[in-house]
Amino acid sequence: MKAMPLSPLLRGILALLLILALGPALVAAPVEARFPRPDFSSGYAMPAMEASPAPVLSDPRLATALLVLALLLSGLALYRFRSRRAVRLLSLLCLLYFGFLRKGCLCPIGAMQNVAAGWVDVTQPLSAALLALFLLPLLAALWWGRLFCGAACPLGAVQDWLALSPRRVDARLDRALGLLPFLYLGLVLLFASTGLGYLVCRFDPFVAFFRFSGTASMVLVGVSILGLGVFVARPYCRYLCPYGALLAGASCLAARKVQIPVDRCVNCGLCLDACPVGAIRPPRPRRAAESRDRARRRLLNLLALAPALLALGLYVGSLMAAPLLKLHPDHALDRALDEGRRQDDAVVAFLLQGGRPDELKARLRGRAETLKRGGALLGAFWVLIFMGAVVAASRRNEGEVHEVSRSACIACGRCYEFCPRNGSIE
Amino acid sequence: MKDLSRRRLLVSALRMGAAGSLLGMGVFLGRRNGLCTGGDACPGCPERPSCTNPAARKDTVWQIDTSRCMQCGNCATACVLSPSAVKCIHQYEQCGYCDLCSGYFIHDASKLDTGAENQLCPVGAIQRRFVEDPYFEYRIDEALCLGCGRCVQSCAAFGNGSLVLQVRHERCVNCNECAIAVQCPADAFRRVERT
Repeated sequence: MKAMPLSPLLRGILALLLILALGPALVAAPVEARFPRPDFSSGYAMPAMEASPAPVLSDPRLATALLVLALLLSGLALYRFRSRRAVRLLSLLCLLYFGFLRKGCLCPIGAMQNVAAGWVDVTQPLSAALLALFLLPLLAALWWGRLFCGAACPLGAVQDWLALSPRRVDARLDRALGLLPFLYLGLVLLFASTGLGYLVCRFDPFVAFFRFSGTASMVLVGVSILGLGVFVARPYCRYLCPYGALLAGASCLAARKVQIPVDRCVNCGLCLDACPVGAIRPPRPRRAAESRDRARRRLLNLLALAPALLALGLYVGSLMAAPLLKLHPDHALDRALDEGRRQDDAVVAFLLQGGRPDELKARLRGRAETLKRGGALLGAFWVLIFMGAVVAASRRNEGEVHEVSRSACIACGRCYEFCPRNGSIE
Repeated sequence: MKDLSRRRLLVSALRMGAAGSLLGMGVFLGRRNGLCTGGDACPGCPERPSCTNPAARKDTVWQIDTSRCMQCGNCATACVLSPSAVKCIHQYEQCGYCDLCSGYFIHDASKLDTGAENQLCPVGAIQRRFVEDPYFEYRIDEALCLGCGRCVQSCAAFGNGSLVLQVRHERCVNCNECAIAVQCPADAFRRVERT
């Protein structure tokens, strides 16, 4: 820049006028540099700013396309080729890509939380890839069952490969534990939609292995569950996965499912033992029908209890608001402000950014109200789950043939391997 | 054998209904939840907070708002990856190329050389190179950088603020919920459109 041939006074006046004219812009503009930009005379060229290279293998569009492909191939492997080997190979490939290459993130289980948060908070961005990730396995389940669980999910794949000696779990215990995914689902949705955090991600037992890094407790929990998985196949899928609960619900409506055609079945029962999740039910004799009066009376009693139980659920649920509020970061900030801890990073940042303590308190009060409502809904949801379990347990449990439970079947194809009548199961 | 055709029709109707509502919800949320982060990302924008920017359908990634960042050091420890996906990057355009770089040297450096005892960076990730009198170039070796922000803090306090912490997307796993975002005391993490 050429030096201006003006007297210092004139230069000063000009500078002042400039500042007054550009004042508003200067306030918004970044702070003027303390040290001026150097004038290089040796021909030195400043290095160009390196932007992050565009992802190739982790490209979200590629990931979505591969998920579609995986679901498609899983369906073919299960219903067309009826090959356990094909399902296993596919699950290994998905484990390598969705698990180790993409390090487990983004996943449909996590995406469910983003959708819940986005539902409530309109400023949460939801990209097409994220929505596709959430919706595709559910849509596939509505037509073809839990294809995602069988081959595409890396968490399922790692458990599947490690289920070396699966044992049968007592039916009643299995049913009781099978409620946990639904209860956990409710909790996860509450936490995600009220900004308390993404529980699924924080308590994911396997992600430490995909990332090759994690806290000691994460690794310990992961190893324990994997160790358990050697003897009790797919423990996370059956007893914890909240997205699995949604998929189980969706697959109840599936048009196509794994089934055992009665004209070809020889009642050997090998598939029963083969199924890692106990989704195959043997034929059960027809029990003598209960007297209608007794049954009707029992139904009426249950129906009479239902509103009271729901009200109890709503009330107890709303009580959760107070302890849950303490988990929100705003609460810690409020405490810090109250206790005058002005050196805390969060307090410093809050005040620097123009935050006002009274506004924070008002926000917290609003959150407490939301949590009360959300907690009440959660309580009612949990009561509904229990009631549903009671209804399911008292359903007529008879059948003349082997039946595959649509919601429990995780489409792994292990039964195909064991069936002696090659291709009998379809 | 019970006649199942009515049941099949009912199940089919429920299936269609479920699929339709899921897709409808997806389309609705995708259009409604734009990139607007509600904060001061686009100050003065009249469309906040229900911006229906078509860019919302593009992919989003985590990034640090450097105007909010207070260099607290959580980026290095809170990231689920180790080493962290957050690295210090140097905005050469803003650098003063000073001999006594406040981002490179400790406050009471005995000598202005590349001795480890004089460096602020705990892992020696900044490389100092003489350009011409009296200018020195400072480059960051990203493979070594921890993302601790010590150089950033000092540069911002005493220098031009040309060193900033940013999320590197070739390393970042793009978690649904960024673990650093949760810990950040200045709430500096935002989801922005991937460029």
